[in-house]
Amino acid sequence: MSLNICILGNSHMAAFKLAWEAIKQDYPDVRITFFGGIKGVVSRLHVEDGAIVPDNDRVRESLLWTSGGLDRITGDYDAFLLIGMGLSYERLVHMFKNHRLPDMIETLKHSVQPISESYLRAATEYFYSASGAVQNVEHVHAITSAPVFYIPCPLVSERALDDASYAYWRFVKGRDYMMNVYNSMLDRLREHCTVAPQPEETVVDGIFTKGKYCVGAVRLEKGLDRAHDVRDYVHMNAEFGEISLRDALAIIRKALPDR
Amino acid sequence: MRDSKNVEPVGAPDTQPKASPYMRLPDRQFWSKAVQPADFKSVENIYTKKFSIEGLDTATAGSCFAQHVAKNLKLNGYTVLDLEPGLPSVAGMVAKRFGYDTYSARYGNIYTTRRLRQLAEEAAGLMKPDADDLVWSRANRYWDALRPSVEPKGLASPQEVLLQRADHVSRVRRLLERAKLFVFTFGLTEAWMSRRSGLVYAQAPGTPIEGRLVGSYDESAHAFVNFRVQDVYDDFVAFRKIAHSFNPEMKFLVTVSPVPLAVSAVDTHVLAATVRSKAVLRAAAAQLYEDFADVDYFPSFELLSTPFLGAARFEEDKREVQPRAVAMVMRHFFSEHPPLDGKRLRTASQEDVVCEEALLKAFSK
Repeated sequence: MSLNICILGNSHMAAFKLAWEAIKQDYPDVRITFFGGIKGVVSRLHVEDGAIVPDNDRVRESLLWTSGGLDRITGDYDAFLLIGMGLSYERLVHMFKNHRLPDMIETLKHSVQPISESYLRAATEYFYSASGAVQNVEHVHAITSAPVFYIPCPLVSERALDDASYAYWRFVKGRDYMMNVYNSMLDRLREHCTVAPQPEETVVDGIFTKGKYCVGAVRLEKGLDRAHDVRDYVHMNAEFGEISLRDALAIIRKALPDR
Repeated sequence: MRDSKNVEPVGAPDTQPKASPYMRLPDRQFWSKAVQPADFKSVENIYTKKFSIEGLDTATAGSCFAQHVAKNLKLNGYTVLDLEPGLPSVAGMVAKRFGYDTYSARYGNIYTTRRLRQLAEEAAGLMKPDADDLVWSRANRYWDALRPSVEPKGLASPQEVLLQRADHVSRVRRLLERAKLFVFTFGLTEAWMSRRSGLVYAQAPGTPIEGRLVGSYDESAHAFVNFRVQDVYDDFVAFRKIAHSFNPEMKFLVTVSPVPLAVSAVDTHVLAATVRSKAVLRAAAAQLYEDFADVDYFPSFELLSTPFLGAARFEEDKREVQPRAVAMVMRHFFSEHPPLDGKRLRTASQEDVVCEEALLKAFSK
């Protein structure tokens, strides 16, 4: 039996696209079609006539090159795997870069701005509901009854701790607070799809990706050959993509044993 | 101190003899040439800048109409300061609902020059509001009485109000230190104040925010005030003096909001109260413009709130300015202050302006 999978993702999809080229010979019965793009492409899709379609020409162009010639996502895949698209633990922790809840403040200083719990809740709720991940899970359910799987954005690389611009990652109270928020977001999303956790072998200290996986990460651009900045600690390389994709394929296989 | 450099008395002597002081005046000074044949779109030369604002770090504050000015300045390459930004990754209405991403600090709408003056005095350390005046409470939630709308659900404790206030005031202080241009829109003359301290509130105590009454009106503690021309003028002059104590180079650009009063506390018709209020503000703005070389006035009020340039430019409620009209007003503004990024003029969408004063209309039901 063959398995026809649609992958939809943002910049993090680059690692998976590269990885698939390297491992697809191991999966002769699996066919994957990638769709996605950067700079908000995945938030510029809508459902029309039973398919997920682009809002504008820029998005259409992005779907065309990532898929190899398709500009609409139809419902006739066996499974949908969504990748990244905004639900990022790093971006949640980043909210504490310059802001703190009152009980996190010992002394007022200009670099840290107090915010209310109400505002933070409203902000994280918006962060969740406006994410490309949540929107596109809804879109997929609107066009098909096929199962939906989701791989969240990778955890930030442990190398970020050595970079002064990521100093907020040393704020443990903030990390802990946002881990609870993040986990509750994933729990909510689990009501609508299967969430594939980041493979344990890529994780260190429970909240970071091992440093080696962000080395050589490439941008989701034609050619897949332009590297991210060396100080980019959120995008991972093809080796990471391979581990995650093999893991995800195993989960999909398990969910669809007849395929 | 008044600066009368820019005051030119009517009939000042010219080097060339002429039969009448009205000879050789530009077309824009003649009704028959400048207004009679013109409409809202075609009217020309209604604003001539007093000074360039290019390269000036800009602070914005005022009534809700000031938000249009702030958004459009940003969009056209001007540096509009924001010293009290919201969370990264969260923009739009979530931020605005909590007072972020609206002005250069999170003070909410500042409708009166007295509130502006008192905020500057607080930032300069010249006054410190008493906690009894500052904190409004209801059902175990607490609000900063000087900007209650920025926390629509209130805060968990009076201490949190004071913590946020201290942080806010320190950011306003930095704003006054950094800004080279302060854009302010005069909004109202009517206000409510503490009888004990004279502290002017942002809105009447007991006004609902998101359906929840905030604060409680107490006649023995709260007094109504309707500022006069001299009050408005003096308050702005005092504000200017404080601003210059931080930053002697600061310039000011003032406008008068065209938005009518939602309700008046004066025992008179709201239309009469509106015209009284706007006339006072317009007169004070004129005096400031005429007295100080560093105060410019942009006539958005004239464009939107007089009947001479065609049909009214308001929505059905006759208060909210039509988005297209705002865009047109901003075109007049940018005809004198061109976009700085070398691109064509862009005008912001208008749907997300926050106007707490409109909350008062709830009492009309």
